[in-house]
Amino acid sequence: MDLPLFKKNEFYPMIWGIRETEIPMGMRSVGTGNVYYVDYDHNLANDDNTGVDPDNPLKTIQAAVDKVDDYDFIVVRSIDSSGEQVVTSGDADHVTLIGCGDSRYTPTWTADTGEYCLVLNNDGWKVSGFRFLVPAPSIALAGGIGVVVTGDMNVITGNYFDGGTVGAEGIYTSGSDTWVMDNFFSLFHSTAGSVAINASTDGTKLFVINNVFMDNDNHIVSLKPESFITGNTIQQVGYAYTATVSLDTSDATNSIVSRNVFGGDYSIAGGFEGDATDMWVGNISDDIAETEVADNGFTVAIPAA
Amino acid sequence: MFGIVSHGAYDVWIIDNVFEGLQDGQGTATAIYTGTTPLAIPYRNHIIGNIFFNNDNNIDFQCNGSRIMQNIVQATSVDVTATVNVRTTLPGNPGDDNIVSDNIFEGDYSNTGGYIAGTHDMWVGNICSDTAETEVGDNGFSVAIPAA
Repeated sequence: MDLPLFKKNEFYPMIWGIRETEIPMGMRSVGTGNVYYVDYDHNLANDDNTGVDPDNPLKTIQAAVDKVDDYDFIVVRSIDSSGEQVVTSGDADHVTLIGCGDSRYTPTWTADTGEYCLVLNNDGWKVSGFRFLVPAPSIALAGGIGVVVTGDMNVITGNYFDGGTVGAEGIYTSGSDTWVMDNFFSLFHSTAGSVAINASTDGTKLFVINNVFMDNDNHIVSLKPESFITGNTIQQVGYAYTATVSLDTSDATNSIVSRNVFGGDYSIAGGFEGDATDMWVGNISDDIAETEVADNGFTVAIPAA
Repeated sequence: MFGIVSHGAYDVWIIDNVFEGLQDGQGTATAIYTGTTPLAIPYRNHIIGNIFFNNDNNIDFQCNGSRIMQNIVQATSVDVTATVNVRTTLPGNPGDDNIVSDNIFEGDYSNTGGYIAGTHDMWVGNICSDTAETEVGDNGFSVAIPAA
């Protein structure tokens, strides 16, 4: 008698430093996913290595980016302190790029003046754990951006975006469905007026969730319709800089702005501006003098003039 | 007796700790403290997700451009009632422009109660038990820095 053939799903043990493997039972649920290691300071680091052995790592992130396929991982222990500009290309989507230095938000990732640290042209990448020390723009006020997103469904989470008093933009996205979660943005300042998150009219949906913004020229400018801004803490008057724009969704439609904490003047003059089709309910604001803020601090309407 | 003393270092992260039982019999023990003669006032420090209870003083931390978020601060504990719960500024060592938000504060939400802010600090969205204060909404959320 022929018995049915049973085959159990394969399981994969968790790997230290690979956050996606930290699931119940300590196992990964997907069989795909090579892990590439980048460690610039390692004595044996070389871009001619395969990169899958942490004792013989790659020297640059770009070398790893050029090797990956769908659902692969890149673990970065150290980066050239003078910086590296990395551009994704090819067909590899849903790659996880993890900063895995010796302490919180390490390694630090910077680039030359007028350049970008990382350009995400592919879809579904996840970037976490880095401190982006964002460079200054060029004389023509171009560049100087931490992460540029042109692909869709990319996730930028758990990073420290440090403008260092010169950085032009923390994140610029022209892609759809960009998720910006659990990051810290500070000290974005330049003569042209820097901005922590700048979302263009290309594509739809920007998700900005649980971030903290302080001491920037401008915090969030979103031109994408149907965006979702929630759980963020936004400081209007910083120690070094007072924000001109705290949150502006006025040139797009149907965004949800809720459960954020807003400091300062909750009005258009104060740098908070929405579209008439937006929902700005349930934020907490200290500007209870405004009609749009209830006595208990909850916003009940989009900001007015 | 102090849990952590700062002499002005920048970019310090104090996260997910428990500060308990800091008492010296003089009422001067403090969980997190900025010395009166720091090298420089701390900037961009991050005090996040900590728990403070049964201490003479909790967060007595004069700082600029820093954030104190998601902490739980108990004012009246089993042995002592804290004198300073959260203080970010002093006349001789003024701190300012900090974010103090998303914390849970017990007790009198006022300067008298040990909550003392820099003039331009942002103290919005903390959950306070002291809903009698003008600076706290009837839902318990703080909407302004503590007053006298």
